[in-house]
Amino acid sequence: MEPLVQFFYILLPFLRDWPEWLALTVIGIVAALLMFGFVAIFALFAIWLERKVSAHMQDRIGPMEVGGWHGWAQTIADTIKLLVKEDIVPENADRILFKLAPAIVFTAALAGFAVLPWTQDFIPADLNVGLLYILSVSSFAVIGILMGGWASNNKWSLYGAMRSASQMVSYEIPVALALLAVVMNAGTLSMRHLVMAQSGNILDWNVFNFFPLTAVAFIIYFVASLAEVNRTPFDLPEGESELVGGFHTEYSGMRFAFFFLGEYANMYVVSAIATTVFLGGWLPPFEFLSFIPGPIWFVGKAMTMVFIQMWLRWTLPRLRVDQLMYTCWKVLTPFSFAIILLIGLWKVI
Amino acid sequence: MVGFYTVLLFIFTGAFLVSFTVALSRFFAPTKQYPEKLIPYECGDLPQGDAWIQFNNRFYIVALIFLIFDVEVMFLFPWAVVFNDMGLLAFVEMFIFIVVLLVGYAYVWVKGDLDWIKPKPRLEHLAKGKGE
Amino acid sequence: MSAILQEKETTLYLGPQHPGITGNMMIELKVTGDTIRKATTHVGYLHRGFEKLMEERLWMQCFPIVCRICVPEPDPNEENLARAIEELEGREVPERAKYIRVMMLELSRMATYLLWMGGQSGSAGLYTMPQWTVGDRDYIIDLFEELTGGRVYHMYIWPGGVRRDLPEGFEGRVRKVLDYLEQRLTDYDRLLFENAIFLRRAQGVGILDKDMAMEWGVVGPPLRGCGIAHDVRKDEPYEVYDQLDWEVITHEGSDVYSRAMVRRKEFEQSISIVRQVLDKMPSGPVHNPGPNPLKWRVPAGEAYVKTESARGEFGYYVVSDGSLKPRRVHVRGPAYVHGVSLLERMLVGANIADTSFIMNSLGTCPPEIER
Repeated sequence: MEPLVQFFYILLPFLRDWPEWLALTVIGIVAALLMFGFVAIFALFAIWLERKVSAHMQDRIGPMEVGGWHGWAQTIADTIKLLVKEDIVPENADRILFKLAPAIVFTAALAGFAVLPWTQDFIPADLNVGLLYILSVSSFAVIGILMGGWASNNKWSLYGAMRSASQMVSYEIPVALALLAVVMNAGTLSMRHLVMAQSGNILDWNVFNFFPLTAVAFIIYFVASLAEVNRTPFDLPEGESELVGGFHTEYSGMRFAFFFLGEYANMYVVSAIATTVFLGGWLPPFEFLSFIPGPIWFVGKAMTMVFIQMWLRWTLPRLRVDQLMYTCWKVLTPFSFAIILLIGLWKVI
Repeated sequence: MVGFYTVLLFIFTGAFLVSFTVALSRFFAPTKQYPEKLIPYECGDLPQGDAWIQFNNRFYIVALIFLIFDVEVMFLFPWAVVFNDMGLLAFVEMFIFIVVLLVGYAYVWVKGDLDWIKPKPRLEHLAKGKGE
Repeated sequence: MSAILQEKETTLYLGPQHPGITGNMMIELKVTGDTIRKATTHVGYLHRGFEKLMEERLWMQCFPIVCRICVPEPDPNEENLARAIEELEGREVPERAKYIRVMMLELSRMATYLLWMGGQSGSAGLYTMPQWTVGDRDYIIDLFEELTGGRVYHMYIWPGGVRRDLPEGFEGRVRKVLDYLEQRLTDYDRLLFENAIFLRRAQGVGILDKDMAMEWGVVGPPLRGCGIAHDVRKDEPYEVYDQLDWEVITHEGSDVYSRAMVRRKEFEQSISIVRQVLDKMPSGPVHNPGPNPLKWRVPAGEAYVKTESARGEFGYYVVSDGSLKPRRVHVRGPAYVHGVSLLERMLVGANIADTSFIMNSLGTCPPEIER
């Protein structure tokens, strides 16, 4: 029985009386809506946080007015503004692809949430190939971005989309290889079992396993995941001093909002993967801290990673295209291959 | 298979939510469109030609290399899962597999296909550049 | 490969409304892939005809106009016009006024460099630096406001000296700002000038070789970045630069990085120059009064004066026919060479991403190109 289904059966006993397909559908949709709610709240919070973090790094104070306390409602106000903004589709654009693109980007990001293990008992879909699934789903965002950039019929968008596509597919190799290093040890692809294999204290987390090999794998994963979600120093697809707005130059209103939401959701997804695979997921670092519930640990660790992403964004310049490709193919990829072979050797000997 | 059904529901819910919100914004958002507003943005000037341009073949090569490596990674994942049980045999087999691919990787590297076009300012052009 | 897949050129317009281009200016790029094959600059979005305007103004009325020629750094323009008029009239400037002028010029140089640091790192995608430097520039601007009443346009230097003496305690406040900026430089170094990604992006990019620089009449930090020690302050000292202890800063390398380092070191040097000026400043009058500005006729003749601004050598050619108004004022600014002729050639073969990076490193100022 799936952990999620059990969770809901305990929570809402009357579901047991329903036909199974109906119960499963209702549970799935409720879980998806829950995740959407989380994404929305996370994005609202993260955008506000990013503005605050950047402001304080830049000797400013950031939004202070809306909502009273430190401008906490600023992003809500911005969202409402985006909702009432005109939806412009440029002439000569490929209308169907143009409208489809944000939906694909956002849906791919939301689908990634399906396998995140919040705690031992709450994981929307405990796939036995969870890690592989989340890798493949996150590549869907490339298609959305490519579609959006192509359909806009704008040269800047096309450049942004092309760069984004080449960047995201290239960096998928180091990401997958770095995660592979951990899978070799854990012997499972299920997100839940990956975390359970790390139980114990902080030294049992995968990042400290086979020290320093997995630690290097973690760094490779983190760097490559920055490129996967188009964050600085890899924000070339939307580098505004070069490509104006990159692939979303022509988007406005709610469609732009969904690109934005997708970007922040993806930030969380890659951080959550790092948390699950390397940082012990919902597990506390020490035994005596286990009174704090798992989801808090999970979200806390992921938010720390998100914060580091923001931190890097405001302290690093952007790379150039050739340097970007160099970093991926000539630095990260060979190193991740070496790590896999070394871990294999270590385990065999 | 319940998990995959949930995933499917996630995808449908996501797609529905996007269309719903975009449709919702139609009720609130104004629509005052005129030709100038619909021109693609080209830094304030009228767009020159079509934006669907012939593009750099580097992207194509990167895509090909990616495809090869991605397939390889797909092979590596099942191997990694059973690695603990199979031990030395699995390691040696996969070692051979990886080495074969690394030879290809080295070939691509030496051939220079992993290099993006580096900016090479043509200095001779600079020096003579008077009239031009 | 390239023979089989001959790529078509695409036309890209950077500007007049582009986040990476400072000011309103258009660069038309012919590109294949990411590489620029041909660059053409189009100016004219900001033409205000200052030189012509001045021919219809009284001499004194020209000062508010010249300020606006180069928005981020108005003082060298005032200095130039004032010195040209003094040369025509043969009017003496009191010693104290000369020191105050040097202080103004160096403070404005520092303010311009701060703005430039922001622009350079902003074009590389690091947006923390602009916020810091523009914020710190405000301390200098506050000093200007206290001294002259204007934050950006000062109209402070005028023929025969400066408009008013330093307020009480001003010297101490200048020193305080200098100390602060000096200590801030270590932050700038850590954020930008020693950043590995910035080094990777700046070294070997935007190469301007020595012969080329000489041939095209490049001035200022781009020229000194090629290792050529040329500085008007040293070559033809004006005001009191010959009485101060300072060196012309050069840097080998001829790339964006060497130009950045020249500016960064000159910023440090300006701090020391202002300190020396404050130490040595004599007392006395600050203005040698002239006739009533409404009936002010400058003797007929012509004068060419030049000043080293933060962008390079700024020259003014002033012709007077002895009337109430200038006959002709011609401005020779550095931005035309840097921003039009040179930029068009330097961009060939560069990456699209480096366009605004290179443009910023040359210190182009579009308002000044068109005047």
